[in-house]
Amino acid sequence: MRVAAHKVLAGGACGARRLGRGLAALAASAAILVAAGCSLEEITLVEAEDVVVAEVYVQVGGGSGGTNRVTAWLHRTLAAGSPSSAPVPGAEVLVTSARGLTLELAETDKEICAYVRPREGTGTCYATTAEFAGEIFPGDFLELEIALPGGGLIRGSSRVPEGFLMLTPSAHATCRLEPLTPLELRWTASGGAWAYVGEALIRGLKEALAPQGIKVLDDPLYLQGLAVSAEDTTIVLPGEFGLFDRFDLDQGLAVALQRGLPAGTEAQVVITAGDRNYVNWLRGGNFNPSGVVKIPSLRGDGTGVFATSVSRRFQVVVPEAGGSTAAPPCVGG
Amino acid sequence: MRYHKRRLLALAGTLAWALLPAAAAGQAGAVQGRIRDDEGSAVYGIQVRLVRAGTPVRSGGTDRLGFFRMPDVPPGSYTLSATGIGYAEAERALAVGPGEVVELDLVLERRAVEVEGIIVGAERSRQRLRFDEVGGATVRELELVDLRKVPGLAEADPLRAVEVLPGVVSTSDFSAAFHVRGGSQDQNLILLDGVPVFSPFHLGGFFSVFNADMLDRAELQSGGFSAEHGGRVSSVLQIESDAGDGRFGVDGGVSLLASRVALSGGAPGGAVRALGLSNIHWKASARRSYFDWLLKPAFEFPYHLQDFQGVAEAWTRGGDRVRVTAYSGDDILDLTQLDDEDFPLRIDWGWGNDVVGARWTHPRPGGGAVDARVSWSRYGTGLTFPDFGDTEFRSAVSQLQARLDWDVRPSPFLQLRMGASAERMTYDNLAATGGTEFGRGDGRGDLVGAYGQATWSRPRAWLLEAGMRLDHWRPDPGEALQEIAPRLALKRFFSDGNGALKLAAGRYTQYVHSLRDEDLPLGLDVWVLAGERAPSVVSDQLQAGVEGYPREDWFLSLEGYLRDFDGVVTLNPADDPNDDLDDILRGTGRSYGADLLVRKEGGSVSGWVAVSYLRARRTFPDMLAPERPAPSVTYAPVFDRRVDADLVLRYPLPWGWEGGLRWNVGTGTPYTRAVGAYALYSPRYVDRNGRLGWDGAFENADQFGGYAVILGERNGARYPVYHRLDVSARKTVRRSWGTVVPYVDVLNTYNRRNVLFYFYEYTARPPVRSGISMFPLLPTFGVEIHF
Repeated sequence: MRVAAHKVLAGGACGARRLGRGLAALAASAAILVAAGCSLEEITLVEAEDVVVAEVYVQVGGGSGGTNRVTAWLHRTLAAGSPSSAPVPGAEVLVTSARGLTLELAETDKEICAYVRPREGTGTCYATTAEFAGEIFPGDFLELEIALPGGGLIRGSSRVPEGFLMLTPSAHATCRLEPLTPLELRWTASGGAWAYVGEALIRGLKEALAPQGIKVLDDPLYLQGLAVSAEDTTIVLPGEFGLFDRFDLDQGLAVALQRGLPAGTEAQVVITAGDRNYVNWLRGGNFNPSGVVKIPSLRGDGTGVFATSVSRRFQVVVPEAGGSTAAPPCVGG
Repeated sequence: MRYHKRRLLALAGTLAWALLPAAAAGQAGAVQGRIRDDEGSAVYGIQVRLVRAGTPVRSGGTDRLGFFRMPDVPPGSYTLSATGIGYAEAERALAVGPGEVVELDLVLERRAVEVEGIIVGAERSRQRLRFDEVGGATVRELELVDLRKVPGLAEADPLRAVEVLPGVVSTSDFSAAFHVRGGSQDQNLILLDGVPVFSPFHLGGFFSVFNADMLDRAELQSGGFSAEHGGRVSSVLQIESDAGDGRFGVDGGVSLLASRVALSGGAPGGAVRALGLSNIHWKASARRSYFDWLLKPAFEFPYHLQDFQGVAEAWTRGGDRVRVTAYSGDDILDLTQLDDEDFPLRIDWGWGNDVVGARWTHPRPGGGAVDARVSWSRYGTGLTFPDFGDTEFRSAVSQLQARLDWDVRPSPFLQLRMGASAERMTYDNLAATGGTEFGRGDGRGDLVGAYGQATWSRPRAWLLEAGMRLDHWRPDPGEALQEIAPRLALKRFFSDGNGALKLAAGRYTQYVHSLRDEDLPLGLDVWVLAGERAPSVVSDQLQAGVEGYPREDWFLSLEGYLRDFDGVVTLNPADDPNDDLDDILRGTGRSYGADLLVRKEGGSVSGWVAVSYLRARRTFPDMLAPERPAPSVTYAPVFDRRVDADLVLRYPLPWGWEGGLRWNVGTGTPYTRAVGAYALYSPRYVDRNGRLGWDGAFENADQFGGYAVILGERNGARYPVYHRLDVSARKTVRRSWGTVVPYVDVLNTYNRRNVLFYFYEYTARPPVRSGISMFPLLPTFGVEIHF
């Protein structure tokens, strides 16, 4: 006996719309459980369409130390009879800006594009140097063209979201926060952004929450938050992060995070403004029982995304009781 | 002045035309009147016959107010007989003079024993009355006995029984929602005693909210409905409650779904007299499911449904009727008390309906009535997480309505019906979590509608209906609009009135939508009103057919139809968060097809065969395509079941048992096939500097979290042919104190694995297509008690 519940909920942490659908599917799956639909006989498929998937990202301020990155990760649909995805070497990847800049991305080490891949899967990484990537600015209109080695073209376009400034905390790279104090992160609107993705990497929770008997399996703990639309320019740290992990987190930990960061912890935070293509790829499209459906922004002889984004990063430190730090306060500092 | 003269001439001409049949009928007279019981209540469904020299000359039936009418009666002496379920037969001698209209009121005495022949006769009479008097609408009526004829899931369900009618498509075993002739499920107007009910389903569509113990009859108008009905474009389903006969009674039932009890009775005579009434009848029911208790040994399933329904009916001494109906039902999913190991997230989720309505009907001499109604209907759902105050999902819609209908019959051949209604609808939807609103919509709309309809009939020859409906819709936010919706129907009788050709055309409008994803077998409706964010629906429809009684017990109907829909909607999966007005896509639709019904009443074996052919299309912007502006995509919606056939039988079994059977076979429904899969990556900035990570590598990724699928043509594939045989057996055991009815239903008797979903798993080695079926072989049983 097997049920469709996990299929309906498939998709992981990408977009709160999916969370809503997931909850709706919860009731559906419960009913299906009750009704006990039976699994059907498995039929072997002999064909799978061979499609090139290109994931091209222009990340302004997203790289190490706030540098720009332009990368293209080209892979293929899974071949029939094999769960791996094949590389796409020999492609020509060009990104041009309306200001006349043309970047040709060169084939490079896979690690530059993807730090973790399927065990048997692979792809081909194309990238340009940080120096060239630094010529791309917020607000630029960009066009992408990928010439595939066996013939075929993939095209796309995007406008990089406008730049934005952090208001709380302000320009400081590191700031100080009182224990158990929810911090409302605020920034200026980024024109053209469809959403802001917040990421927080929190260290020290395991030790800080141990006296309360709360188990923290992952330290550092990675959490995501989301603010939808250009005008939604606040997220509360840490309570509104971890939105998509609430099914998986220890509930004691999830509830504790609603109260604020405990003493002795610190959080690295990145706020990323994403364009339309970025958000559509992130959130996915219509329901299909076979898996997640993405909304592509590339047309031609393949599918995929040409996403642009602008990121801002900072660090929040919550000192131990009686401890001190030279960092200015996150609020009003 | 000349203008006025012309108008007067035109009016005179129209009247002359309308009255012409009376003259043309020569010296024929008419017999009409009203039948009430000994307590003063009008009696519905009484079979009335005019007999001369032992031969029935004319026959008919009484309507809801007890009226009957038999026009075109040759002069002479007759005996009028009236028979009905639960009443002693009454006879009255009368004489009809040339051109005379004989008025006659009869009082029937109650009789405890029901006679099968009378039941069948009364049903036949009502069906025949519809055939004789309804011109355009395709009306299919289901009595309680029909409902119980259809094997059900745990207990009789009026909405699931509707699925067996021609032109009605259900997309899965898991849902009682239905589609009529290529319309979406939100395009069905569902009325409980005249009160609109939104989303009348429990458990996301698994069961309807209607309790069969409270049911008198269900009537589906699947097309060509008259101008009095507005607000939906596809069909009208009227559920009428049974207010009982005034005597104390108890109906109880125990099934695998729920336990239920219904009490009925009347008000004490003193109270009735003090109120100046003739009588008061009432019936009230309560129902609760016990999934939560039954499944507890296996696993925690903290869900239950409960509902309450009541109806009271009072008759004045002058024959007026006042009727009050109320319903309240809730579904409750309480995941707040479960062990963290079983379900870590605490969730409190509920949804349900509230309905209340009052109706006053004043009969007019010679037939016709004034009917005034007020009603309020609400549907809502709310989901909260007690541990996370930043999260709320809610959706609500309500409708407050007042309407007045006036029915007059200036001549035996002409009926005029007119009315007006005023209603206010509101909706409020919110999805918010993590400090962000992912969706919000609220607003209201005021609808003022008026209609007029004239029905001219030449008995057993012609029937013409011409009507017009005017709607003024004023949404907030949004711009006001006016819609004119003409309706026209023509029926030509042949074979001495036993057969008829019919033609109907009309425009239908709708100002409310459900955004539920119809590709999901179960789900909750999220309602929005037409206005700034969503269009109104305008549907032009044409239908033509032939129907009749080739033999007394046999009814046959064949109809073809064509429907266009403008303003159908679906959710925009790629809406711009910076644009509040683009989250709903506007589209168009078209459907055409043919429906065949062959029905046999009477005899030891009765039932019907319904065969439907349908081609439905929807066209929307294809937001899954990368191009902008998005190209449009035309596809067969999930309810495009090309051929759908039902056989429904009721037959005697040995030892006093009665059997029921339903066999359904239909073309597979369309679906979108996954043609490939690829690894799914996401960028991570905070510690990976924007590099991509494979989603499947993370601890919280499920089996499919690491892969996405590429889709083939939208709904370009079809599941295999659907077929299922359901059987039931019931036995009525009479005791001195009442009756006990044990029953057994077996769904999917031969365990057909009808496909609910296919899963294309390209991550498997080798890739496979697996899936999940709908209902397996599913026996259920229960017992009903009446006393």
